[in-house]
Amino acid sequence: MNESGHNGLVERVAHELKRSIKIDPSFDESVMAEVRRHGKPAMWVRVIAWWRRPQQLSLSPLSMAASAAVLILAVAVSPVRFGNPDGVEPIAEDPAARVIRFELDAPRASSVTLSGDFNDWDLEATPMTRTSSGEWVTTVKLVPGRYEYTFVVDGDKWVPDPAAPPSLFDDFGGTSSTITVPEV
Amino acid sequence: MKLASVATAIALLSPALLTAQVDQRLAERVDGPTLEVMTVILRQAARVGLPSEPLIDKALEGSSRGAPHDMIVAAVRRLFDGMNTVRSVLGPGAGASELNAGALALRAGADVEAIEGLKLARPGGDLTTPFGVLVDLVAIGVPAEDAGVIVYGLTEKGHTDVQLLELQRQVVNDVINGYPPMIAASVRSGIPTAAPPPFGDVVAEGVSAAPQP
Repeated sequence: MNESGHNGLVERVAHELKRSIKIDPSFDESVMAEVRRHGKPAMWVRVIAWWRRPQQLSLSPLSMAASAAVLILAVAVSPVRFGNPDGVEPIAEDPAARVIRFELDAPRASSVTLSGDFNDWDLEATPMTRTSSGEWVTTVKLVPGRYEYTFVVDGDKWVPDPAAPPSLFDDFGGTSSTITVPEV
Repeated sequence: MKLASVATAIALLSPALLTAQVDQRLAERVDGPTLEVMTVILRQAARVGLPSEPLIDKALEGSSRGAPHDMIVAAVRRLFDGMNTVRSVLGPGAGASELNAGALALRAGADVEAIEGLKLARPGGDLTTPFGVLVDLVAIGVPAEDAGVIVYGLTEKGHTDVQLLELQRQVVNDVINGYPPMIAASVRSGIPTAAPPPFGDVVAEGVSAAPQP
């Protein structure tokens, strides 16, 4: 097709598109009647449709940064804490954790607790139980690793475990014991 | 562009989030000045990729023992430096327990070459127990260099953590029974140490009478 033929075709198409179409006046009414007959979809249908339809959210970079800051601050001040509130429970849930028994022969003690890096050196988190023979025992679940600990007798006397290697270094003026839970 | 903005915001605010999370544990246990220094140290740790838990544990230990501010901060900083050195040898994949034990090994007298040697002796494996056994051997009187040679030799031969701990237990028993630590460790491991036995044949006879591994 040459250029004049192409232009002629364009003109004919344009003319056809511009031509007014006569529609029966009752057509609009019949369309609207049909729409009214179907009615609006129920609210729940529209809600589901909205959730299923991809939505576009536009934010300026500044708004995004502010949103991230608000989210992080909300997490920071929230009383809900993920992870390790007292240093013991998450370890207990680890499938690699092993039950370790700690014992101290202290028949004259009125209380003994176990304090170490596995319980944030909490002096009250792991109380020990006295047996009839005067031995104090408790068990803790520990994952493989190396730990330092000590017994606290009567609330204020720090006593290393006589059955365990002593810690080599004394950072704070007391002797701790060490335990290594091996990989198996 | 938006992604970059979000990443920047999170990167800037993550240390604040970390600090806020540890604040609750530390704030209840350490005094104000210690908490301030700990906040800085933990930010540094997060920045260089060191685990925070050993550092927090050290501060909490100091607090429970009633240690003064300066002593707690010095202990935490010493641990930070040790873990950082060990991490530079072991790489970013090293775990918290491994770094903590490695820092103790350095402090016990092992050098960086010993850390590197253990890494090569157990490629890809956890070194917490080898480091711990090295430290415990030093604690009972085995010179650090000899302890390093013994632990490296056993690890290089493929000894497991359980086997290393069993050797340690036997050496401790020998020492309790009166044998010199270095001799006991050398005989039990079957690895000759760098220094000759200082007590001559009498001690060697005594050790040979001990239960064999």
